Amino acid sequence: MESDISNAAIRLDNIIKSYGKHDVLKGVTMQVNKGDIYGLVGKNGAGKTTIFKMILGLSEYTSGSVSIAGSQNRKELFENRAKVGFFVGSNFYGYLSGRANLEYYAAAKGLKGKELKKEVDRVLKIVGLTDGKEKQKAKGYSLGMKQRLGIGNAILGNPDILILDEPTNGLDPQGIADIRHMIRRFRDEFGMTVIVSSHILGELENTADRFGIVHNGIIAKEITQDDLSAKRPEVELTVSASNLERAKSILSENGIDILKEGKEKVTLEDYYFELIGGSSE
Amino acid sequence: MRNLLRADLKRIFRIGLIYEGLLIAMTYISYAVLEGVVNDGSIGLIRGVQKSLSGGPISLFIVFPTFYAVFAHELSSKSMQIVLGHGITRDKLIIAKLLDAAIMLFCLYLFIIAVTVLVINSESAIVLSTQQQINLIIFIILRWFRHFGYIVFSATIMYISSSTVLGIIACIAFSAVFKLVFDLIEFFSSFSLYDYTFDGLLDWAYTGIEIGAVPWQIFPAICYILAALTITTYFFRRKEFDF
Repeated sequence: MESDISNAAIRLDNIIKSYGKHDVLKGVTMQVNKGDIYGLVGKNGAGKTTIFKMILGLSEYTSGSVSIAGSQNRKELFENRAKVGFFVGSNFYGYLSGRANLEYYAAAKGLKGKELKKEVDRVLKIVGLTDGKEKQKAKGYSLGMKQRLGIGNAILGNPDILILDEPTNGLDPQGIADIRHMIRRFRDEFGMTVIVSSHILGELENTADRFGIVHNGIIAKEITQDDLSAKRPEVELTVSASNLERAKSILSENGIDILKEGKEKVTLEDYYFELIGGSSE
Repeated sequence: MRNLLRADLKRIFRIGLIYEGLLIAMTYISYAVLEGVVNDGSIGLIRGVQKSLSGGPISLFIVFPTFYAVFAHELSSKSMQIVLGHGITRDKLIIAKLLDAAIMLFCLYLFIIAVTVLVINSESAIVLSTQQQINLIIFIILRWFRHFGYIVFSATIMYISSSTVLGIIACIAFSAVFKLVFDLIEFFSSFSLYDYTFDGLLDWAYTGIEIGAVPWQIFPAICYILAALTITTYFFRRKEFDF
């Protein structure tokens, strides 16, 4: 595990959360470094959302400590929470339009006048709620639009740290791909540190570069994309079907064993996008 | 907290129910005043305003819409989680919401006071002394305070129970049913508990003002509100929020 504290955007030290005699978190220690896209994976009920609640102060931990952006005490922790944007589902006023919702939260964050309007316009453009969609009442939004509005709310004011709890839940493939693209953009273009949770492992594998595996109330393992690659010492070689026999004989002549042979499958996602257009990137 | 207040008030003023409630309230007050003036002349205006503002109906037209506008969407929209996650303390959030309610309610009562003063000074048939006018305005302000109290007590129940519906039921009960309950208790037991309630204390405070005495009963009434606020913050600090 990375232990350079000075590089930590978020650090949890031995967090225990108990409800009566039941420990939901049994000593979570994790560190999300600045610039990471950190994937928090685990099955439903593993404790991912509870970890987020601890970070955001929506639930008090029984023991341990949380540090955001290097905070050393509770006062700094409170202050530094202003540097965190988060999406935890569709949290908005249904009777207000998408724009009015963002204006509300932007105003609550202290933005005013032209600055507020400019920021709301910027965010609406990033999340793709334009062309009149921003004027519709939020209660009439499709699930995908609600997710976009929630993410828009999270990135208001360009926070240093972004927490996304299951942002692709219930979305169609295009919606999932769009959000995946957005997450990368938040880090690469806006310099945010992103923590994203999901119980769909394949989805996170394509998005994050570090992973924390939550199991039975602890971070069972933290790994990187490189660790994942190292777990597979075999090399995959792709050749066209017409060259297969020739390739096999060349490898054989050079004393190279072929451990596995098979046809590369077209993923359902690739097939879907080929059929309807669009892109997973 | 100031930013949250500003944003919240802008949001709350967009809720149509407030204006619908105010329109019905003004119609109701106008009817009561007209009836009072026809029967008792100038003094009938005072009686009409007092009668209309004292009953349960006005609470439904003014207190309920205010409570609804400030609190009804809080739990369902989960906006509290967003605001708390941005680093505002729980105590400040509660105080901001109650200030929202106080300001919203005060705006509605300011409108009622403005219309009343306008009618008194523009209608030549109505002649009221300066003292009578001051007393009437004090009466209206005390009504604002009373109705703000109902909202504080209802908010306490809403935050403890985490149920908007219970909060709304409490709001209606405080406004329309409680006086009736205490009247019934007094009828059957000859023991006047009502005098020690928030409502009873404010009634005595106004009586004190009318006869020129010091309305000390306002202070225990304020204590009721502070106690409710303390209880609310106590529970709210320990509240676990869901996403």
